Amino acid sequence: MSESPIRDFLVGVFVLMGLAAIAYMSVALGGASYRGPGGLQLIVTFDQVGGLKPRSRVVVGGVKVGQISEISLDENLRARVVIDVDERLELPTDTSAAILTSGVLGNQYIELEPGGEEAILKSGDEIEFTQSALILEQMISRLVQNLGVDSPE
Amino acid sequence: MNAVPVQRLGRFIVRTVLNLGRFSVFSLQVVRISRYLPRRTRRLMDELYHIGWLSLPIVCVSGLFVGMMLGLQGYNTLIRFGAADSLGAVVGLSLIRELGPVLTALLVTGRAGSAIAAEISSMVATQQLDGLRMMSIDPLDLVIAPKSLAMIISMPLLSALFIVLGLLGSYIVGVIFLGLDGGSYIASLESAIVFQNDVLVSLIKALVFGVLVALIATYRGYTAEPHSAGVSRATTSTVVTASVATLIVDYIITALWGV
Amino acid sequence: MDEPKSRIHLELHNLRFKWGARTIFEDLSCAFPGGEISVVLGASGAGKSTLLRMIACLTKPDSGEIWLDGETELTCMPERQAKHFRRSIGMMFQGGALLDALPVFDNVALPLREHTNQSESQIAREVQAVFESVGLHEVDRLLPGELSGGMIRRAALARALILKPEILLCDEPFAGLDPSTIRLVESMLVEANRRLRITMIITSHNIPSTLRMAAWTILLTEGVALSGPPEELYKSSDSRLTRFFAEDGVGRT
Repeated sequence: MSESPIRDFLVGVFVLMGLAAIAYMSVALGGASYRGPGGLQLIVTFDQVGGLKPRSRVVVGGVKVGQISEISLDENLRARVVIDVDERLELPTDTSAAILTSGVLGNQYIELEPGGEEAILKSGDEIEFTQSALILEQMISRLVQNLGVDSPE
Repeated sequence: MNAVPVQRLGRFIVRTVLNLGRFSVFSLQVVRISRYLPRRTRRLMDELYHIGWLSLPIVCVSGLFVGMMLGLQGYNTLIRFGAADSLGAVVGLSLIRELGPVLTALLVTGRAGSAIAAEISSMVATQQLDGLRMMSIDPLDLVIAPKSLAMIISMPLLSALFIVLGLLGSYIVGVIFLGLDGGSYIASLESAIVFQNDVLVSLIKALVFGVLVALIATYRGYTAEPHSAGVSRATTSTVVTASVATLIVDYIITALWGV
Repeated sequence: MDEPKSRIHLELHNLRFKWGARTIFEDLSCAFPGGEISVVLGASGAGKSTLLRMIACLTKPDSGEIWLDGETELTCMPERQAKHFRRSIGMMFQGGALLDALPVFDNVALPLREHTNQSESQIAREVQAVFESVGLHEVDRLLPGELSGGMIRRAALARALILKPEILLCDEPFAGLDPSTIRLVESMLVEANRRLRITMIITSHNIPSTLRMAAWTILLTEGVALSGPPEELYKSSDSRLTRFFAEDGVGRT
């Protein structure tokens, strides 16, 4: 009931520290600034997406520019991936997309490589040049076959 | 003789259901009385000081050491697979998703939850709450609601501080003591954590735990028997009930989120 | 009894109350005269505190009626109305029941802050006036835990009186006090009654002080009430009365 400025100040310090911690987790670590659609929606079709998941990263030259919003099958039974990238990006129409892996066993993500066309991609456009995910097991078994050793089966 | 355990079981079930019902009614009353909270900022500040600020040291120290422990254990395990660079991801995910909210809830239950229950139940024992009723002051309004809200506000803040201190602790062990590359620690941390999957769940968990601990502690205190044995029973049962409830609800949220 | 009292009086009719398996009130009827000090006597567990709680609407009897001035019935009063009604009742609890966390001044000022729109300086003036009347000095900033037993009773009385109640209920105001402090608290209560002319109901098992201060006495025993002026009860030959006065260790002189 009685006024106590020191306590109020300490409570203020406590709340500010807590909010700073939440902000750090959300923005710096969680990348909350890329939340939700509203950016540039592009469609990419792959033969094989491997371990790609919704909300995986999309990068250009290693810099995060967006995330995967949806993965589904199209009518030709190929994997149709919708990505959501920063709308300020001016990607040429001949941009190519590749599924890469960070490290040997790390998470998979999509790397976009801009081409040289003048025209730029608009929301809803499809990226035509794609490179599917490399599956480690397939690579190993191919390697084993090429070496002329019987594949373990 | 066979009837005795059966009777006891029956009584236990009846009592549990009865308690759950009363607890729900109590919670509704607290929510309803909370519309008067804007008049109670003075009380709320006092409670935030007691519940939030005074829990800060224990939460920060615990966070730091849990992080250091995770750093050491994670490093020792990951180094066998040559994946020590993923330390940031391992520590970050376990802290943010589970350990941060859960351990904070357990610590705050032990420190502030038990204090709330003890304070309210001793107010029951010494007729202070009846005294308030005689002055036409609702104890739910003056005592229970500010304490509950302060707990609900404090929990996510404390949990976030626990997590950040934990990350610092594992950075200290991993990067400074064990010589990992600081850049790749941060990079693996940042790339592993997604706001919707991890941070949001973490905050929701902390908030839900705050509500749970607040209501359980105030309910146990409020319904305590009016003598000193009642005070100690209220305190003990607060810690036990709130801790178990935290762990059960943690599993339910994790399962529901489907990650 | 020089003049007819227009003060609030209470009538209790056929109260019944069970606590678990134990019957506290079998068929209890009694009345409390307005503006006077009535003392409720009874062994511990006879239901003295329960009776006060019923008058304060904190506990409801299983059956029976409590009439206020023959006009208002208390037992079937809804909580909202009871809440309002309690403002006209002051209650001094056993042990004071002051809020431990608040200084004495804030404890006494609390009802004013909650129920009136007075400014802080007005509140301070009123609280000081009440402190003055119960003989409390220099305790504003102390916590209840730092007060002696007698001081706590004074502070509790001050808090009970601050809203200018029409009825004052005192639960065991003499419990755990030494004889000289009992005298002090006693004179404080008598003084308040004389000055404010409020209806006071005091529970006690202290017979000497009852004889000194009570205008009306009620003995709770075996679930019923026996009432009358204190001397009359004390001299009565009813076996229940003689047993109570004998057991309490006060010989008849």
